[in-house]
Amino acid sequence: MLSIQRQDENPCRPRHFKPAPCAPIVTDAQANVRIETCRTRLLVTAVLFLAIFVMVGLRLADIVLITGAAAEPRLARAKPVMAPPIRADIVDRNAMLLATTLDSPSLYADPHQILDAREATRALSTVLPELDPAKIYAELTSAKSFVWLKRHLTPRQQYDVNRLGIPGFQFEHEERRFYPFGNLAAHVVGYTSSFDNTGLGGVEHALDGSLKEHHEPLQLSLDARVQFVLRDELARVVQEFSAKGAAGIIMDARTSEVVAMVSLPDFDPNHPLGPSQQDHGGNQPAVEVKDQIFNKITLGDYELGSVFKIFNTAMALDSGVATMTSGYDASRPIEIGRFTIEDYHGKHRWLSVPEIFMYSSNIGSARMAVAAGADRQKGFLGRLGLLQKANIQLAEVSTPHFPRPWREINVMTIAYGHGIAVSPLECVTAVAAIVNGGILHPATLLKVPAGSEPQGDRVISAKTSEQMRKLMRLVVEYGTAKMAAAPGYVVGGKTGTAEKNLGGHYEEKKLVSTFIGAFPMNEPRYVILALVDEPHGTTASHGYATAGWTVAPATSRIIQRIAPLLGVVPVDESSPEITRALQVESLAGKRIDDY
Amino acid sequence: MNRLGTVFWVVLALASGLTMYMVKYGVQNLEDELARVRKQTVAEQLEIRVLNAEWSYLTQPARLAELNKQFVSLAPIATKQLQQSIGNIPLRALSEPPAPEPPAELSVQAAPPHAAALPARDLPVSPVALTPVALSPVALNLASAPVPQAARPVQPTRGLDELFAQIAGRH
Repeated sequence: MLSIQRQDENPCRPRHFKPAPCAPIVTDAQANVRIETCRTRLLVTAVLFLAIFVMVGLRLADIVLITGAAAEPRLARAKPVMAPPIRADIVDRNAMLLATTLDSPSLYADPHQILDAREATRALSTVLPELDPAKIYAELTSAKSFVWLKRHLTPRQQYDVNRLGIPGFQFEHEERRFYPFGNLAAHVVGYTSSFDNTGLGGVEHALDGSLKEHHEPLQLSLDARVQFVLRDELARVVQEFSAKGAAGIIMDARTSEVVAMVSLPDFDPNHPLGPSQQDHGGNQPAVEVKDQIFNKITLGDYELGSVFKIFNTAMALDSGVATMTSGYDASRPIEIGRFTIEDYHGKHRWLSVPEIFMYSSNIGSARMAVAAGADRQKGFLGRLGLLQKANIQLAEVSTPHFPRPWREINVMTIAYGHGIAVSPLECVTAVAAIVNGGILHPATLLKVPAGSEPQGDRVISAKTSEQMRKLMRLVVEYGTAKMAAAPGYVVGGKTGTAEKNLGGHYEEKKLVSTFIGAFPMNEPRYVILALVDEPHGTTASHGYATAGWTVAPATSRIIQRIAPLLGVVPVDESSPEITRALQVESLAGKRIDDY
Repeated sequence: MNRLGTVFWVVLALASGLTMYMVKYGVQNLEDELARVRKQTVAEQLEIRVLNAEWSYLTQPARLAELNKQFVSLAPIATKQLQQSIGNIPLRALSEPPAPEPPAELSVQAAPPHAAALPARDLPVSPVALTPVALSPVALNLASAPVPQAARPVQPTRGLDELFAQIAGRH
């Protein structure tokens, strides 16, 4: 074609002459070369395309047939869907829900979009009767473009409002922390801010970061059933003895897991700043919000009184200063400086170590402590963790108060629990170590997996621990805590009644009565502390407000109710194995004076 | 021959186009369905959360204790009811004629672990073993165990709504 055109454009050609339309004559050799070139080019292109198609085909086969299954999970649409991440739930050791986060829509309106404010108000008040129609009407006719009508609706209320079909009503998605059990574990679980659900107290506060990050439920060591029993019985003590408050803790003796922790008065974490005015007609005795929020178990520090004789006796026995058969003169009060140390119910004679413990002799205990010396006493209490801040998953933890310098008079008073103030939590943790064979575990609020025993430090020998168990059993059998006995559960313990130290002097009428015990004493499983703040004697207790009459009977009831829940099988307390295991040899065969 | 080939390729192109069209729309429908199911899943998950909370609220020990007092009056288990653990009850002597076979679910509940290997008819389940005395203490936790059927005629409770209303009261 090119050659034809070229010929046709010959300038020398006459106008009328048109050459015959035929291809110019080319030689065979020339033509063949050109055809060959074309073919080669075509072939190369074809091969190139073929190669590309084969590659695409192979890749397709590879994706669909071979690696298809493996590639699938990488696709965004194959990923499982989850509800939007929220603050983790808190559950008890049996996975009962203690705190959860719920979707809680809030209703607002744009008054500009409301067509008929009167009708909208009427319709809304059929669904949300608690709203004040006059106020709603005023809001809906205002010139604003955003008015809150009600915050935190239930799912049902949201459905009802939606069904009204009123334009201009909108929902704002909000989340709110919800505590199904209310007051039950208020101090342990804590509470959150109602605006952004940030933890403000308890575990919610102390583990705020981890609750925000993780979405698996946080499992506590608490047992909601045991917690209920403890709270129920303590509330009864408060009522019976018109007390200011009470507190209790139950701890696993082997792992130091806190199974229950109650501090009364308590609060409802669903509205921690106190019930609104219309909920309670204002005729209830006003309890200060700060008293309710205050956790007596961890934040309170009390001079626990004779309960400290457990530590004093364990120190004397473990260091070899005293043995079960040695004794001290408790016939006369000790005069030191301007103080006089005397016994509450003095025996006025020489007392052996078991007797000192059983009759709770201050004089004997003080003499025992002096024999051991200040350094040994301070070192021993330090080893038990009673001189530093407790380490637990709560921020509300107090620092113990103890004398500096540690003088001889302090040695004597600390022997029977005065002049040193510790939190009940630390006391229970230390007693758990005394009775469990001598291993101190840090207290924990998190569930320890069954079968694993956490690492602990040996604080006393197994032999001392066994002797202490015998002595504590003696107190319940013959001593000040007879009312704590729970038949079948071999309870042992020690009472302590201390006058409150208010501004440097002791108030005779303001007592803190404490019982700390463990059961079953032959092989302790649980340690329990019950404390009542400012109890008043009743006619039934013959006017006594001491621990033996207030918290000891409550402990007996608590143990009888919780032992079946905790799987503690009752035993025959008079069986030879039990009596042999808990017999104090030095008292065997002797007549034991009644306390 | 050449024309036949052309027809073949044209038909093939049309068929593949049609298939592609159908697959594309099929996928689109599936995508829509997937999105719908996902939305529903999230809604269900949120609902499960609410129901869990409501279940906890309705089974809180204080409420169960109240219901118990109102309808069944069960007392906490007494120590004398627990004098023996199930493991202490001796096995029936093998020579004796086998006891009538107990219902399966009872045997599961009451059989001590070491009896599991025995043939079913030799299970040490006697009327004595089935009394409350011998059952595991936890199973019989009367103070706070979920209350059985007797509690059905409870007046309709508003449950969570009630609590929400209380909470909302402070706003």
